Amino acid sequence: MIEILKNRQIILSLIILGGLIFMAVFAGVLAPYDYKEKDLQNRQQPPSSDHLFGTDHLGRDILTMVMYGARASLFVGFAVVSVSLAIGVTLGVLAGYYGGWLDEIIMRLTDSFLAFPSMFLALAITAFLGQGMENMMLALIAVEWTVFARVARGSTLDVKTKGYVRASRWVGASNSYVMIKHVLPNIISPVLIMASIGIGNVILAAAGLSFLGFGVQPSTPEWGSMLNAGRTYFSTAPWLMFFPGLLIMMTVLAFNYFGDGLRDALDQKMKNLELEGRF
Amino acid sequence: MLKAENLRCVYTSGLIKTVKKTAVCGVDLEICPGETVAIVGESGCGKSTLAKMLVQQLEPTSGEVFFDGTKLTGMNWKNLRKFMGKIQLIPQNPDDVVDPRWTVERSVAEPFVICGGFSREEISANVAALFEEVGLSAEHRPRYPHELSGGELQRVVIARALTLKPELLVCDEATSMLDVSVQAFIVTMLKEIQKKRGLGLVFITHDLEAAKAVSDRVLVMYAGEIVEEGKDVFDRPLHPYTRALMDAVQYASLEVVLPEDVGPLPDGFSGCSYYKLCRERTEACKESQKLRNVSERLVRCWKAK
Amino acid sequence: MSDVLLKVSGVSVSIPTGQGAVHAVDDAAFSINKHEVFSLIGESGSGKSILGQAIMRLLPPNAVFSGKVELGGMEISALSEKEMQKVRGKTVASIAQNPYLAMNPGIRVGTQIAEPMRAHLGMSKEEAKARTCRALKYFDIIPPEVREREYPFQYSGGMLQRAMVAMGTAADPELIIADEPTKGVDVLKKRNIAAIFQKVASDGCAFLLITHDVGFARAMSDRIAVNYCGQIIEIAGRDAFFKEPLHPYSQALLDAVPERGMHPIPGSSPSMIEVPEGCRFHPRCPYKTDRCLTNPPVVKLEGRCVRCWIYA
Repeated sequence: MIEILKNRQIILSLIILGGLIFMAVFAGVLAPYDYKEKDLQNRQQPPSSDHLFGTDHLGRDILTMVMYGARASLFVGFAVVSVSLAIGVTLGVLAGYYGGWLDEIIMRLTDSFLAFPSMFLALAITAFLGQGMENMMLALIAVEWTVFARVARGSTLDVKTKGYVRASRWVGASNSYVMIKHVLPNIISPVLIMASIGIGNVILAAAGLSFLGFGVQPSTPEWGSMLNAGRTYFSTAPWLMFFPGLLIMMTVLAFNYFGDGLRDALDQKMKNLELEGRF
Repeated sequence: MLKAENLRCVYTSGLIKTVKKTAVCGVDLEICPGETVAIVGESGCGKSTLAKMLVQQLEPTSGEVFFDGTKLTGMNWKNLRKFMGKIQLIPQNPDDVVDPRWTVERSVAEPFVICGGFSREEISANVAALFEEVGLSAEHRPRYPHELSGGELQRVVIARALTLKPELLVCDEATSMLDVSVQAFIVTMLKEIQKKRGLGLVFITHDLEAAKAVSDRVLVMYAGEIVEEGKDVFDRPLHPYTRALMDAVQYASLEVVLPEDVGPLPDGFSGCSYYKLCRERTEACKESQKLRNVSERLVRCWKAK
Repeated sequence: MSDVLLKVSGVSVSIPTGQGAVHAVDDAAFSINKHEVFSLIGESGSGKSILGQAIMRLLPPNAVFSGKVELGGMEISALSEKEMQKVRGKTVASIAQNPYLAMNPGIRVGTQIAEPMRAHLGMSKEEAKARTCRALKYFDIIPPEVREREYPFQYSGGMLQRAMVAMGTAADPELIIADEPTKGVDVLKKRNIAAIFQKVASDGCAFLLITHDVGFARAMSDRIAVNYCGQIIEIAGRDAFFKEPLHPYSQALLDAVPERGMHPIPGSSPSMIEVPEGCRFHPRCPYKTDRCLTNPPVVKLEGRCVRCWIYA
């Protein structure tokens, strides 16, 4: 673990992510205003010392809304990815381990999900289920789990052929024992890398859906819906879109960076092991 | 103790045009308690496939394996579980057999955990005793596989194989990737363990000198068949193939022989499988060869006297 | 001493890792004469492969090298990388362990063999092709005109091994370095490799065989060097060495060979990061005394040398 922290990419992204999470958790304490507080006297104020990020068309403080928005976005990101990961990894491991008809069914199912463009699928599901945060999350899970199923199945196929799996079976271990004790720990690193990148993707997709009006209610602060609200005033008050957009970009970049860095670090760890193995 | 009858294994591959490759054809084998049997042959002669069939990791295409009179082949996994600890395989590549994310101690303890019925203290005492038996110290126990050398790891694998008090160990090229000094150590240790526990030992190797040094009885395999079997095979080789192996070990004649260049035997050829390479072949070798009993030896060659 | 081909003096290589520097080669000194087969034997992890890489200047980029390597009177350890490229493959060639990894699967075998001829001998395409065919025929890859146009996957394992030797010898090198040519190879194939090497050696090419296979080294070599924990501890003529090895480690190593009863060496190989003080073999040595805690001298005795206090 300590070796992973030597990677610069990881440290940089961890600092950004730590800041974001801190901001989201302590939004109530840190935010200079209340996000519901409308100040119709000060509508569409440009950034100033009173309102660092300016105010929107109802006079709400953008900085405050962006902070509360981090809550919604990060929650959606983590929740969607955790559920997708659980579903995807379970199905992927089962498919990879048992193979045969089970593999066929599960993989054809993921293929049929993958056959649709992901945004289109999410749109269709939210349109069908109706607007709202829960429905949006369901839609995103439906898109996201296939990634984990594929990765988990691929890695399981590899681990399955290892001697320790056969050796474990050969002293009488059950299939479920082997899957939990041997397969899962050995496929977890590629899955975690995918999860990190996946959170970024989900946040982006959630913002997109909210922007299109399928996600979070406009009354709750969320980066995507803030973008949508600010769209009308873009020519007169560009800061309405600039700050939430910047935050989305930073978050997604940080998660992707973290995923990349994690992969490099794990690869490097493997390389070091090999190198040491030569002596 | 272990008895194999007419074991045969055919691999099929290819989607459109199926290719059948016979890896092992009709091997009979018997191993008694406390006995060391060496199976030698070049790579690709089917000795590893035979090993996997003996330990039931591979279902033979036909033929049967008996353990103390009980038929193991065709048995379902639940019933087979009772026999699993009794026959253990020690493979060539030890780092494949231990989970890289487990400490070696946990890997050795795993069979106890899976079998159940052991308390935590019993397990750790047993594991400590096993580590001692294979000559590893307490400081090796909490390490991970990548922190051990190949020889140490192979000892961990042996310790693990010993957990369920096996009666037969099948070593598939267990020492051929190791350095001579480590190989010597492992082989000496295996022989000591065998003496102490009265194990049967099947030693599969391409290293004839090692086979000669450890075994009571030797089986020479060629192209999936046993071509010679007996006690003093290397002192008095009767089959031409065994003689060729002996020459190779001593680097006797350094002219290039190209066994891989002769190509497969023609379809429908039922004669001696060594026909194309044999320097002493005659017309009579085109007849199918049976294992014959020649002066306390089984030889698959009509010429042997 | 005009017949010295390769002279290695005072070569040390250390490679930094996460746990500290690995002292893979320490103060290696030996020389190989023209037309001589010289074997470097030792256990895996004793740094013998690194020494081979150091001579070829193919060390990992973070390795720290010091010392002097002279080839035919030229100090190749001081050459620039560009100049070294002209030497590599021409005067000194290496033969890899695994023919499947060493040959490019997408290029015809003939083209791969012809490459060193075209690069180093400046041959035209036609000349190189004719010579490639001769080389293939020499190594019993027949018919050469057909085989020359084939791809590596069409070759059998043994043929590919021979093709690889043909590639190594294409530009008529004076020295061939073969790193573990017999690792994981069964007796019959081992004998075939020995036969091809013998054939090349009988044409006057010198060999540096890096191997852990004592039997192979015995069958092939004129002189033998034993490597233990990064140091060369004994150099001797083949017959003298197998008749009477001097260093206690050499004795123990030979006793561990199956033909001599498989007596294990007590203890285990030391770590290459924290090497034992003084003589590196002393923790496992049956003859150790107090002076073994200080560095033993390299003692020269009638054509052989040994790094041990017993003979000082």
